[in-house]
Parts: sequence; structure tokens; C-alpha cells
Amino acid sequence: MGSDRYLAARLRTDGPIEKRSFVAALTREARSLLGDAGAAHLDLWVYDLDDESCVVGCRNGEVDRARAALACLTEVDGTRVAPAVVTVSGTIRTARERL
Amino acid sequence: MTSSRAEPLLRGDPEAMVAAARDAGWDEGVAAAENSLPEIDGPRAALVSRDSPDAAAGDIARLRPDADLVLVDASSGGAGAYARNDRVDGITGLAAERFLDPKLLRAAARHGVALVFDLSPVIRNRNRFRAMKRLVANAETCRDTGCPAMLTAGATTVYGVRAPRELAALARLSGFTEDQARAALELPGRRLRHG
Repeated sequence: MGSDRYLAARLRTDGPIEKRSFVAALTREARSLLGDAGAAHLDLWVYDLDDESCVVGCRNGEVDRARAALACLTEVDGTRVAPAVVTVSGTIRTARERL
Repeated sequence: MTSSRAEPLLRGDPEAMVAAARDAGWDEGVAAAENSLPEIDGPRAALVSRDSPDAAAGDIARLRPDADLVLVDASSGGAGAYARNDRVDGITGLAAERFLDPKLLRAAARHGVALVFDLSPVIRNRNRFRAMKRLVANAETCRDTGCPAMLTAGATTVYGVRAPRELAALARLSGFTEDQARAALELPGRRLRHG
């Protein structure tokens, strides 16, 4: 089992973000928005993260809910963040290339 | 043919907000100011926010000729009067706050007044559960009554701007059908072109 759709998003932030904090914040928003069962079913996974972009994986068929969870990410450890999904791809390589 | 999508309610620094909306994938961003019009060369919205329809009437009359969109905040009351005002494009401050009466939305539909679904309580988790219960119910009432809808992230800074597809995804979680979400994203752009 694993992620099989990859969302590449540009990030607007007002400071640096640590991957661990980003994962925690995204998980928290997904659980709040979709409930534990819904969030678990997404199978969200953060593959890449820097101060300008990220690549997040999710289960096939859950792209819409993954988008919604990303849209609810507003802050990571006090740093403001605004994600905007640029592309959705079936391979992580293509997602990275399109960023 | 694809229609253009416009974010109808961008408060804050007009130039920065419109640029952020374009970066996020909107075809157009409509800069808005409260009880006035923003200083920008581009689509502008007036967000009329007064305590009563009588107090708002003067602002609506004054701002309508130069505004591309006139949106009225009905959180302080007066929704019935705004819904019957042909010079109003949309009503804010209600969709996530109250369970709306079908009579109100039928009147709005007759007068071409849209219900503005500001998703900022969902995005920023301000009483998200309470807001989503109302959004789900009001989205259904809009479908039942033919009341048009608009979608906004309700951004006041560039960090609050969200992409159209992200807003559509949140709208579907908040009771919109796919067609309804698409129409709600396109309605502000149609109003801008047709006045």
C-alpha cells in the first residue's frame, strides 16, 4: 500500500517551515476536517518540503479531500502558510518536474 | 468553452491581494473595500457593511455606479431587504452563520442576488463544525430555490488566498454539488463582464 496520487503545491510563507511540523499541522487539519476515519483513508504523506513548495501524496480517488485538507493549512508553528496545488500527477517524479 | 473564475472578495492591500489571487490560479481577483472602493486599476467590489438597510442604502446608491460588484454584509440584519435589492450582487455574512429561510433565498433568486459562501471559518477552523452544518444546509436550500451562489476564501491578507480548485474541494465538503461549485466560481466573472 502507498500513495498513488501526488499533489505538488507552491507555498507562500512568512518564514521557514520544518517538515516535521508541517506533517503534524497537515495531519491535524485533515483530522479536524474529515474526521479520523476520513483522514486515515486519505493516506497523506509529505514527500518533499522546502520554503516554497511541497509534494504530498494521497490515495487514488482522494485528491479532492487532500486538496481540501491542504487548503485548511494556514499556520505551521506560528509561520503563516498558504498552499496552492499546481499539479496532480500519478508519479512523484512528474509532480516534482511540474513544480 | 471554459468561463473565467474570479475571487470576488479580496480585502487588504489591493495590488498584493490581486497578485496573490492570480498566483493561486484565479483568472481575476476583485479587490474589495468596506463602504468604499479600493484604489486599484482593475475589478473592484464595494463591501457595504452597515447596521441597517436604511443606513446601507446610501452607500449602495453611491458606490453602485463605479463598483464592478456590490456585496452587502447582512450579519447585522436586513437580509430580507438586501435580497430584494436589484443593485446588490451578493449577500455576505450569512451562509456560515445561520440556517437560511427558503423564502429569503427565493426572493434573492428573483432579484439576481447571490448568497456569498465565505469559507474562511472552514479554512481557518473558526468553529468549523458549526459553520459547515450551516453551509451544508444553505447550499441545499440554494439548490432548492435556484438562488445563485458565489465562493470566496474571505482573505484579508495574501496568506488567506486559496486557489479556485481548493475552494471547490472545500465547497463540495460543505454541501455543494460539482456543478453548483463550478457555477459559484464562475458567477463573479460573469457579473464583471456583463455588469
